[in-house]
Amino acid sequence: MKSLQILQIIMLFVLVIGFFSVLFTTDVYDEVQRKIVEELCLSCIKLKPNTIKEYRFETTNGAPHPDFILENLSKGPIILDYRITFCPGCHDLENNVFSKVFNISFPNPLEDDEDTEIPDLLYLERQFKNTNITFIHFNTDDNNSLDVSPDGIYAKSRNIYDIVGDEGNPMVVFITYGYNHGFIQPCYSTLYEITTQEELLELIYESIDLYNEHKDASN
Amino acid sequence: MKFQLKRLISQIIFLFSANLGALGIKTGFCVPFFYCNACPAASSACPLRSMELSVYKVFNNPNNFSLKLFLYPIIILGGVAVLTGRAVCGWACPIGLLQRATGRVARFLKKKIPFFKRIGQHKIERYLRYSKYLVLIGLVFLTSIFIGFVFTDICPIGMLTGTFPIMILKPGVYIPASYFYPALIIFILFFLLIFLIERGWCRYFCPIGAFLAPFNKVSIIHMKVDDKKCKHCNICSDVCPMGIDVPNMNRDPECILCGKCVSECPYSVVKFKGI
Repeated sequence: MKSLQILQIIMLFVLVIGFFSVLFTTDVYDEVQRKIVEELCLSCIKLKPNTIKEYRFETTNGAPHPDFILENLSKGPIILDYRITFCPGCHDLENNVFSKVFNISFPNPLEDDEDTEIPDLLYLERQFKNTNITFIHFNTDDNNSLDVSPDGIYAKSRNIYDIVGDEGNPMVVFITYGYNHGFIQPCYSTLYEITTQEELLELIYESIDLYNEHKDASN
Repeated sequence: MKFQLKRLISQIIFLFSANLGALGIKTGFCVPFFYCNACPAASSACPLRSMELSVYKVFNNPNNFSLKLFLYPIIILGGVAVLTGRAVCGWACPIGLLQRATGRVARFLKKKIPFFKRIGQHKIERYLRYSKYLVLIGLVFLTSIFIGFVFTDICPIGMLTGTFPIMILKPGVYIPASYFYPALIIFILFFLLIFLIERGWCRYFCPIGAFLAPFNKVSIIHMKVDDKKCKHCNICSDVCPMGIDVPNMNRDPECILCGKCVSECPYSVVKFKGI
């Protein structure tokens, strides 16, 4: 009986010491809070945002479109790709869909053998149906960079286009021109899941059609 | 105050504490029981989610392994379990509270329909109890290591505490993902199970119960039956929600320390020890 009590005391001692060691010597508390508790787990709720192909004119927080959007929109439709490093859905989207359609490769820390880092910002332009498409990728992991220009401006734009507001990842925004009660204005469609190259191409072509249909009237 | 009323108050307090997120309190702790962090009001993380994240696709890339995310829920669950064994299932878990309510129906069915009584007494039943260990090792750990998040994709508790509240609070904002319908079927089976078999989820499938169960063998607080004074009237076994043979139990891994046997024993030979 005494040996059991000694075992209980040792186990309790080890676990209490272990708890405070892990809690105070690592950032596990912040990581659990930020990545598990505060961020909505779409896998846990078995749902996905209902945002397929709906173009909107009003931004979610009412703020105007950022300057870099308006500048790039003069060249053609824009695709914004928001992600965080530890995001399996983001990896699938970038490595299986974006990489093939845009002919680029994305680093993948979940699959690669060595430590890799997702760049905070990627910017590229491609031609589809003789129209320029601007693709901008943001890794919004580093919250400190939110306040640093120019990355900060880009990352902050997430709040303008996050129509669900749950910080879900990945988040892809298509920005083009559309007709809004007599005015030609920038419009956007926010999606949180694109599963195939065909789906992405369809969305790109739709944004190009809208753009070409309205671009002259926008000037 | 009656003993079982104290337990009910404890369960309600823990239910509220698990939902403090509704007041804006979102912590970085893991709860030592089953509650989904996807619940809009959740205040802490589900330990299983942290375990899954810690080993996500480690087979493809060993660098994915996160020791801190792996140890953190294990230390929290282990610490609570060394103190109280599976008492959290009986005194704190909100899913335990739900099953406490549905258990009345299961108990009624068991009394009225012989088939349900036979299920509980079938010799295979005690082997079925090992299935929760398979869920913990297979669905929580192995699938995360080799495939991805399978358990959270089909977890019925996530459906109950996460999916349905979000569908009610944000109608039309979300639509079913590809694994919604398989998860819905599992949820319906879960719901039927807890109405047909008292504490059916705790007995056969709860992976957190599987983690806590072995600690009953060494926990400080445990149940003790006085063999010499026991008359073997089996009233304790009849009222036990986990279907344990109480007079012959010795730190049984299935015991959730609910204390029903303590309350009902006419000879007061079943007692809590270590308090």
